[in-house]
Amino acid sequence: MKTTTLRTVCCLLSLLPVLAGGCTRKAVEAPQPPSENAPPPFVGGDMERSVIRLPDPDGKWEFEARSDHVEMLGAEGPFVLRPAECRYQRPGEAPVLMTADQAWIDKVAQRLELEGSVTVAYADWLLETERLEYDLKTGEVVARGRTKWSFSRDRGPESPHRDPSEEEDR
Amino acid sequence: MTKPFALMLALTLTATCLTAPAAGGERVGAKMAFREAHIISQLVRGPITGPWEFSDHVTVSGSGITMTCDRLKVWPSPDRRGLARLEAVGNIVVESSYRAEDKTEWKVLGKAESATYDFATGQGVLLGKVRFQATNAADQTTLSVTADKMIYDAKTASVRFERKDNQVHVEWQEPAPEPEPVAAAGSGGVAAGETQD
Repeated sequence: MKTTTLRTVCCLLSLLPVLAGGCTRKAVEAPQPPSENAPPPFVGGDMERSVIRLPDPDGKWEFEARSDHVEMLGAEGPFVLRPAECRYQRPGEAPVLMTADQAWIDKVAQRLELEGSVTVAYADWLLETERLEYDLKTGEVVARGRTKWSFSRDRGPESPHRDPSEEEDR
Repeated sequence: MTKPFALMLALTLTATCLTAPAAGGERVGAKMAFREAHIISQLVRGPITGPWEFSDHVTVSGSGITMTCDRLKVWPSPDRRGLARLEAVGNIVVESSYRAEDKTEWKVLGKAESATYDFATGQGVLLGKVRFQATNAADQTTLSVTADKMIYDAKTASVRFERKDNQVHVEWQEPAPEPEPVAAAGSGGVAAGETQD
């Protein structure tokens, strides 16, 4: 009889924290409109070793940018990448591979600006410049300042600007 | 030497001079193959897939040919692995050099207002105040041609000059010989090779 009573007391004691937690849980509050004194919404931040992808809503192209350091100037960008490695691909076309000291990606306008030691490799072509604007919607490129556009049939697979996936086609 | 004969000789030499490298089967034809080319300018615009427009101090170089111009439009080949067509406008200057069959080195300079080259047909055209000059690097013999149009056909390795009045101006200039030492001070005269007005 004593043993049964002792077991009952132990069970009640073990349930005590659970019961206590249930009693102290706060009720879910309805969302309140932000007050003027509330902290501002997230406007930006830094990310390390990140990949930014911009898919075309119409599926005509894909864009991807990688960087060791990405600065977000807003929740939806623009993004500042230092340095930057980018890849732009249209179906059935050779990929466009880009590198630069800095890239500015405007997700909304679907525009890309590259600055500093810019290289753009496309098929057997290589563009080298200091400043380049790229309209991702149209594929239109504008390079300003001294720009060198080189063509070489001998640009081999060891080239840092050659996409390895291209080798299957060659 | 009669004047018509001299002109005929000059034209023959022109044709020989221009077609000899191609007849050799490697120089001109190889140049137009362009395994490698560089285009430098201050402004480039166009779709990444081409065609591309270059402007402001444009220089094109590749396989021994250098061309400068104000504006250049370049069409890549359909497979994007070569060139299909070039169109240049404004202050065209083409410089090249080649070795003829007789091993003589020639420096070639061409000037025009516009130029095109189609890689599929192998035809290049210089248009507007065309001035062509080939200089023998060894003895400085110079051949000059002035015309309105120059058509180069890589397939037949031939060059054709055209002028609206059908009179292509050709000059063949031998290098001036070394002037002989003056025998006596104060003596006048005209050195050999010079002309008097």
